[in-house]
Amino acid sequence: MTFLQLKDVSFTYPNGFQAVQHINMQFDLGESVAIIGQNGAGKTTTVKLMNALLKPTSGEVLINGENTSKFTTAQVSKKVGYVFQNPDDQIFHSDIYSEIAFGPKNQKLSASEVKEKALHAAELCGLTKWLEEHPYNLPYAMRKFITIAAVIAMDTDIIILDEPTAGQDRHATKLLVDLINHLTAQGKTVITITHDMEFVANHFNRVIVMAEKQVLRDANAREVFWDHELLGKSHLKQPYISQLAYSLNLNEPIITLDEMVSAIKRRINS
Amino acid sequence: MTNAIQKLYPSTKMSIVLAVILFTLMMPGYISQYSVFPIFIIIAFISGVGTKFLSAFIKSIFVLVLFIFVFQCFLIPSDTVIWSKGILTLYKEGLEASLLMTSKIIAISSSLIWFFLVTPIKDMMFALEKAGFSKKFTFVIYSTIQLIPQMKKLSQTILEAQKSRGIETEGSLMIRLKAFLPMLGPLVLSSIQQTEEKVLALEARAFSATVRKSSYYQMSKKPVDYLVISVIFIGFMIFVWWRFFK
Ligand SMILES: Nc1ncnc2c1ncn2[C@@H]1O[C@H](COP(=O)(O)OP(=O)(O)OP(=O)(O)O)[C@@H](O)[C@H]1O
Ligand SMILES: [Mg+2]
Repeated sequence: MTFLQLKDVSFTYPNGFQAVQHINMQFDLGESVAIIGQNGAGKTTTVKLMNALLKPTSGEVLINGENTSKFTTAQVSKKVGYVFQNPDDQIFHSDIYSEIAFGPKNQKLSASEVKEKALHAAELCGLTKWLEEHPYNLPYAMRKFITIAAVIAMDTDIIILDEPTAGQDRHATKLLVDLINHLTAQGKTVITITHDMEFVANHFNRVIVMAEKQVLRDANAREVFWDHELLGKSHLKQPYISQLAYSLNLNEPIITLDEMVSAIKRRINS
Repeated sequence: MTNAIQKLYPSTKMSIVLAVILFTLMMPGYISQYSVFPIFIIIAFISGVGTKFLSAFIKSIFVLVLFIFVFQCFLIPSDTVIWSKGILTLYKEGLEASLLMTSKIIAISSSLIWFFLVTPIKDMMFALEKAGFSKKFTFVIYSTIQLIPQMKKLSQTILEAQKSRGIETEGSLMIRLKAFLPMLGPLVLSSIQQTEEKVLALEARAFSATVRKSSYYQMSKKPVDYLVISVIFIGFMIFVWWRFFK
């Protein structure tokens, strides 16, 4: 059943710049979806509309059938958690524990529940060791995980990650994948914005492609990454392994290393 | 920037402001001071900043002036009562004191508002450096002025961060106040942190090296600047002669 829906949503910033136009999207609970698109395509604007940080100029955003225009951001934050693109825009406490516990505290939970949620989120994000530290003492990539933990602690049905892969090393990317799987297994919807095509090809089925204020395609990763016209229009590149398959004329829509390995093996054997 | 008035050298514009301030203080009465205001409205429109001038004036000075007026008029008691109703009594002295005071405030502030609207910070800094102030000095001024829009942006960002984590910021004054207070700490801290980083970035590019620095941005006084300054100087001298020696 559709839990979050954007119906013909357009948004114009106060300075008169229209950032998104006629956006339609639907998400069920338990889904993991990637949103890709070049810089300025309108991805961040779109997700800020989902958690009511922005209200549509026209069209409507429905959560569980209810229009967000009736609610404040604080009210919507109980359902939709948003991890900011720039962690420094989100962090405002002087120790990591307080930063993570801030959300659940505002949900008027009991002290022990707050603590439990915060500690659990910290553990999922590998931060247990640093809880007393000042957030700015950790490097950028780890600050991003602080902000992720802060949103996970709020235990929302929907979690939006705005470019969690930027600047992350292999270990951190692995942690991120596990995290997304863990959350979707709990029945939460995770929406991930990323510029990392390999990451999308390897870990996502459903991909939404945005370009120039609009949604160009909502399909599975294989279809997206083998539609050269679509990629051209949205200025996106194929994953390297798909580029290789394309250059080698393998005639197979390969998007992962494993698929490439088995394709080559098949050819060697035949 | 195509406007001829905006293109004047900063110190030329400043000398206009200085002349207005001295005139305002030396001239008795309040009529001529009040007439400075409509003149600056006209000058502001000719300089292409008319609407900005009016809105800045109304937002800042107007409220202040109104406050002073009400305060002085009704609260300074004297013998001569002009008008009275209930507990409110308007005294002659109070009225005159407030007219004198507000006329000066209006004249001086309208010249200053005009000056800051037609002089980009960049020009001001350049002129200060040219006049022999150190780069460090101008940087302190520059970053202080920059801090205001920066803090505005930052407070919006922090507000967004708090909203999306469940802090109610919309609604009654009480709710807004409750959201505002916890914001102050992070606001000041982040501002300091950003400034620190900026200083590091500047140092990394030899900001405090003692060699003579060249400037990419150039501007210089033109004949029209000398003309304007001369006119103002002569006009002011005539005024001083008329006021004190005639
Ligand atoms: N507060 C704002 N006021 C005016 N315009 C804005 C504002 N925020 C963003 N924009 C503009 O809206 C457009 C879309 O921005 P948005 O941040 O949604 O893009 P994005 O897809 O997230 O890009 P990126 O990959 O760089 O994060 C951009 O052209 C941007 O300059
Ligand atoms: Mg973005």
